[in-house]
Amino acid sequence: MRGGLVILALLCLGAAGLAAIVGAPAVANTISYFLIVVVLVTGLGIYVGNTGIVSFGHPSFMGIGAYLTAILVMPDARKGALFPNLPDVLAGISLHPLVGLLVAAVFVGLVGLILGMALSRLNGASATIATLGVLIVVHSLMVGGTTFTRGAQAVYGVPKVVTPFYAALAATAVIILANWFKFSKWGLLARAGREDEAAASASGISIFLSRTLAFSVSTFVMALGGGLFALQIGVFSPSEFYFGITFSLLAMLIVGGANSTTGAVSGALLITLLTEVLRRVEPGFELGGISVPALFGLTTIGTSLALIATLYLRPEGLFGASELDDVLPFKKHRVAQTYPASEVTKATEGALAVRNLTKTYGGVTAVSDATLELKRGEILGLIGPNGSGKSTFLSCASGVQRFDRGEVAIGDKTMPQAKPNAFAHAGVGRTFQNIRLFGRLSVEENVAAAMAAVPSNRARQVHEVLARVNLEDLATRTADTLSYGQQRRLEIARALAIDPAFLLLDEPAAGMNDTETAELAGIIASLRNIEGLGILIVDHDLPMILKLSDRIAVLNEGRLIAVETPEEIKRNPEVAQAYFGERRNTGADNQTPEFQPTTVET
Amino acid sequence: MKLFQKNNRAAAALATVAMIGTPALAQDNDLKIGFAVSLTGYLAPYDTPTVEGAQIAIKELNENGGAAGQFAIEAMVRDVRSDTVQTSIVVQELIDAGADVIVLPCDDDPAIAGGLVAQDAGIPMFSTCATNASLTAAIGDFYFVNYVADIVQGATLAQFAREEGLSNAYLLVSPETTYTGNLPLYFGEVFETLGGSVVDTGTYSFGQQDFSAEVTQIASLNPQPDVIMTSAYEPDFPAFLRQLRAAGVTAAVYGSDGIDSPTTSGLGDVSEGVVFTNAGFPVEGTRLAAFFDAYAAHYDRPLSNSFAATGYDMMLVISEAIRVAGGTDGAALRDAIANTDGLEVSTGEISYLDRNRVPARSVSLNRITGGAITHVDTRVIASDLLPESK
Repeated sequence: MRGGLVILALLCLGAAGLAAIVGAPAVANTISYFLIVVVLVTGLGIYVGNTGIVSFGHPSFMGIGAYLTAILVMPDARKGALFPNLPDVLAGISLHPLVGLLVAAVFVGLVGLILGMALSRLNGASATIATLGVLIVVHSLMVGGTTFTRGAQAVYGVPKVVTPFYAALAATAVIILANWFKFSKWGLLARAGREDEAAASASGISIFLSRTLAFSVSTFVMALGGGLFALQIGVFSPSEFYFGITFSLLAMLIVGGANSTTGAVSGALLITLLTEVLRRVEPGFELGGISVPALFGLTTIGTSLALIATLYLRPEGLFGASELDDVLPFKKHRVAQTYPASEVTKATEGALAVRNLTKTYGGVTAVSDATLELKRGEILGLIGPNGSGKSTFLSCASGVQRFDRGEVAIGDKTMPQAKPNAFAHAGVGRTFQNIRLFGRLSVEENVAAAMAAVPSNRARQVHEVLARVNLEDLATRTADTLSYGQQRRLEIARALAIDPAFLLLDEPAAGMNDTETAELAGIIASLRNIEGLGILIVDHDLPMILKLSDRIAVLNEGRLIAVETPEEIKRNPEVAQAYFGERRNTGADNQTPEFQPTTVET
Repeated sequence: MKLFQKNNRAAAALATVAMIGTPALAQDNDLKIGFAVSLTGYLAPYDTPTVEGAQIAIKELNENGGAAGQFAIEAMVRDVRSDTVQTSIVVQELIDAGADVIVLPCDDDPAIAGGLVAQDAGIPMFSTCATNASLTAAIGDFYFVNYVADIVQGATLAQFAREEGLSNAYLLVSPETTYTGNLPLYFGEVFETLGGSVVDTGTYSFGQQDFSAEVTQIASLNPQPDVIMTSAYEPDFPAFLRQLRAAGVTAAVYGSDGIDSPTTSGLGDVSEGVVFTNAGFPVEGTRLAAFFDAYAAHYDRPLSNSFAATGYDMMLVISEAIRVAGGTDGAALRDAIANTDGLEVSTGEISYLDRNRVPARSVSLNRITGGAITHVDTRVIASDLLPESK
């Protein structure tokens, strides 16, 4: 077990120890509640942190957990009085609190799985708004569903069995669970999706699945927290699980840092400490003869200021995306390095073929009737002036964009449109014109995410792929902190991680200096020569394209005007005209103009 | 339970409340009252005036030697921020600090959460103004209702409606709180016991604004109701009333203390004749009028609702109980409070005897006439008319 996790666990158990030492019931209550809040904030963080989607709906699951736990645990007699309409199955049982708690949490986790499937089809703000809907709908159901609830009336008489020690055990378990999920395969994929959806899809990551699982796990934890809440306070009603607690929990998560478990725990700790100090000051006090008057409302003001200060000074929260491990001198967390071979069926022969592709934007035809084959083991350059349709062509050929006519096939299999995920699984890797890395993930995580998402027939190692692009020494660096050239290479490494047969590189040398370009060219050539990949390069760096490519295709105004060897391309008058706008005809001898192999700024 | 003054000068009041509450020195012969109340949050408009009223009583009692003339009263005021968890924690702290009596916030959840703690410790307690009589069962035998309970308001209104010769009632409820959901139903029960009939019950949501569905339903009823009972308050009550009158429905409209607000009388013609209950109306020359004056003098601003008066009364009940019990022992105090019978307080008489810890206390019936609130009657309902609390 790693140092950071041990420290967080010790913090929880230490809090429980403090309660035991002090002995006052009020202190024990405060500490128990703090630890339950740790459970809740950490649970919320499992979804918000890993997916990057702010959720207002999670207290609903806390509420369902509280109701279910209460119903399962309460003694029969009291239950009969409070819930006269309960179905016999529920009315007759009275479980041990721990069993009731776990049954409730598992049930809610399953509900979360189903609901997560619907929610995970939405992105960004629409997903957030949908969670707001969940909060309101579930609240209405609690008020209206009087078979299972008491409407707006309070449920009371839940056995108060939570001690600081039990709460500490729960908090520790949840911290370990959150940490495990974050660094598990699905947590890694969810975080990759959080960083860049387009790049995640192109790397074969199912954002839908990873988000759904994150949602389910976090609703499980919220229900656990809700059940503990019921067993700690002994009374609750639907109003406990509405906007008030939603904002408190989110405030703690934001102050601590949503993207890390350490952040969630520290946010809960910080706000709780702040509140505890301020509320003791509120009624006024004497200090060295000076009388400080009462100022009720100080706790609310204090927490609000903490939130505002966080948003100003550290928008990512106290811990940002890093864990305690990242700032401690102990062993750092590493993702799984080895990915074993598994049985998958991929086309092992045949080209990536684009046939009669036509794509229009409104009245403008971006690509018109283009047919091009990328063979295995060749480097195919794709050039053309700005606006000639290169990027559109690449987007359609890699399954990112829909097109109007034509087809894209790998071997003899026709590929679906706008399913980048399917292309990655069929062996098509790609990079993007404007670098799209999983910025706040480490270098090795960028590669591991793609590796974990796309199975391969052969075993793969993260460091091997990184070595291919000379990045193995930077494995634990955060992707954001790499130099430009390194980021470009990491993008290629990530594309290689899916064990592709074809690699589509969109301006890989853009913005690089000569040394970096030369290093990159060497890497690309070796990928063809050693791995036998079919590589399509779109770039403006003509010397590099001419040097590297086996064939070069030229697009102009959406039409392919030539697909020839570099030598032929250099002499092709139509290409020259496309690039320079005129025939460089000297007139007298009508000699074919030679295409100048210089970098063309377009 | 709910009175809705938008302003409430809360911030200014809060500081005052806390400052004047702590002068008494702790002695052997002292009475510590722990106020776990909401000075901020949604319950502040109710808890704050209750505590203000209590502070006046504490000051007066202490000037005369303390509770029962010999127990110096110390008020420990803590803000629970209208939060259930905080109430439970603060009540424990107050008990640890030696509280002999606990005062809880005005809503069910926090009152129960804190109440369970005090119950375990065997300490008598009141809620400032939670009106749900079921809390006595939810918390236990140390809990006493202070304010006019929903069952009492409902029964009083029903009795008065029958006296007015009204016989067909329509009930408008919202299940979103027990107050808006159950009080009209208590009215309906007693109304039927007294020979009236409930022709229909409609449901609304908080803040819905458009009441055309409910109003159309009412207008098409046969027989037409001659009284409409609701515990809706702002902004729902004014919206409903306007749309009801616009649709030509002339039935009498009865409400509870939630509409005891200047807004209601300021609605103009549509509110003419609206009847509602509250905990007391300061009729000239009464003890309540004197309390209103005392409040204005103490806080330098007029009193706009009856919560302060019921807070004041609560302290008188405690003082009397401590006289009977002869000390601050929890169980003895509890029994003494439970046996309170016909004690004279600012709002009239109060009795807990044989009422299952829900006080028989005066309820004022008021009617809006010519844009002003006029007092109709103040009465104490007979306990055999009270419906069972839901």
